[in-house]
Amino acid sequence: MQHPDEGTIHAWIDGELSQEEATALEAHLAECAECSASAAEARGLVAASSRIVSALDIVPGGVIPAARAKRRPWYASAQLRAAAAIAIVAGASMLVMRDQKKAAMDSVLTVSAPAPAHTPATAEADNPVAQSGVPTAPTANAPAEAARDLAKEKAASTPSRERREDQARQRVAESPPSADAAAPAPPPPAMAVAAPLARSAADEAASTKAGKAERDSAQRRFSAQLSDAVVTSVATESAPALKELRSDSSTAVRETTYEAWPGIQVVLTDAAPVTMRKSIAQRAGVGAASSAPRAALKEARINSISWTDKRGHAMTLSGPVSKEQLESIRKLLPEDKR
Amino acid sequence: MTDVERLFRTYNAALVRYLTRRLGDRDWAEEVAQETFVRALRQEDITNERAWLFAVATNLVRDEARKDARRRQHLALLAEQERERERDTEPTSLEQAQEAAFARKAVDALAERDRLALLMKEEGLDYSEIAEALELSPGSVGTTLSRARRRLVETYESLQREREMREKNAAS
Repeated sequence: MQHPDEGTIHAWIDGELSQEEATALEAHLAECAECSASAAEARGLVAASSRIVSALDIVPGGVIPAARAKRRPWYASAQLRAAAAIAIVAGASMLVMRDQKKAAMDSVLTVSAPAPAHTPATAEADNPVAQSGVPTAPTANAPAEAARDLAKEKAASTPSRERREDQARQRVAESPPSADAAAPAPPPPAMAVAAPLARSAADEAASTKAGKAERDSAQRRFSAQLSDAVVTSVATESAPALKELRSDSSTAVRETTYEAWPGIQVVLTDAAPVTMRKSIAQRAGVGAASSAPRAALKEARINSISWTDKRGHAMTLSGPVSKEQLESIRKLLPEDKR
Repeated sequence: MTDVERLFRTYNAALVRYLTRRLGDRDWAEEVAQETFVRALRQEDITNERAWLFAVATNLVRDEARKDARRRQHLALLAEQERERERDTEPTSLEQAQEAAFARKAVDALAERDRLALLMKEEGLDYSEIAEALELSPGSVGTTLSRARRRLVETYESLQREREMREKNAAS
């Protein structure tokens, strides 16, 4: 058989050749590398054109500009809650990391992490002042106290609490051994090293080069946000390595927490398109956070990036690292989520 | 069920999709499809229904394009208003909108016969039906389709590359 022309190859792919013609062509393809390559290319063209023609059916229903997307209540709420949660988790981890004085630390930034207040009941419980009944002075000792309060709260936590927040508190509660009740087991070595630091954040802060500035900054923040835990997070320049820690799919928005660098966690929010948005919007109405945590988060430099993946899901990645770093993390996600 | 009802139920969806893809205008496409079924009512015997319907619809588009540009403009305006309304309810992602725009451009860039053959193929017409509807020789359909597909993909990919270049320049 002579080399088939492109039209014949397409006819073969479309199933339009007679049995004899097809058999002859297939025999030729088996022994002719050139035509075999042409056939492979033709298959690609057939598939790609189908996809392009199908794209004509997308009704150009307008584009969501970034600013407009922010206005969406479900979106903002999911992002806020995710960011608040990771701020606590990452912050607690940082308390440990700082003490280890890793050489890899390149830049230091201060993160203010509000305890999310979803309902009036939890808002009260989350607020150390309200819980203790004693007006806590805004001092640099507050982080340790906040950690202890969170530990107490964990012991009395209600079943309705989100598992993620519980885990976050647990991490906070485990670092100071002086924290009441919540950590019965002896802390692992790393935690033990971290103990003195957690007992007195002020002493530790003063021992670092930027200690003074940090303490002042922390005091200022606490004047504004008594219920905040102030932690220090470290961004690193090395390449991230994604490790999935947990995934919460109890809502229409799936939240997956990854560890991108040792101690630095990012949250991937995966929102299914259109059909599920209504229920998410309803949830957002219930869980709408006040504007105070939003302002605090902005200050905390929790960055996030958003995109729509190949399945049409609205994806948001947020964490205490730069947008560029979030982009590099995004590249490590499974292909259909990028 | 009358014969035209059966025809309508069997072929309307594919015909409207084909025409919408061809015209980029759903209202116009539905109008042409309806007119096609009305013509089918008057037709005595149709040997290959699908090929006949697609051929008549294609000819109607051609005729109407010639004689009624004004009405088309009106319909395009209506369609635009419709899209404005949809814009508030069902937003599309940037990527999707971009994809649709590139697809439109790439399909429009094809020669008319190549475009129609490709759109008919995507609606499931086989080579003999496409040949009949477009008055081509059956042997040339494969060549027509291979040319259409290659050009479509090449145009689409070059549009994508252009955008990537623009983005790269904008970023730097």
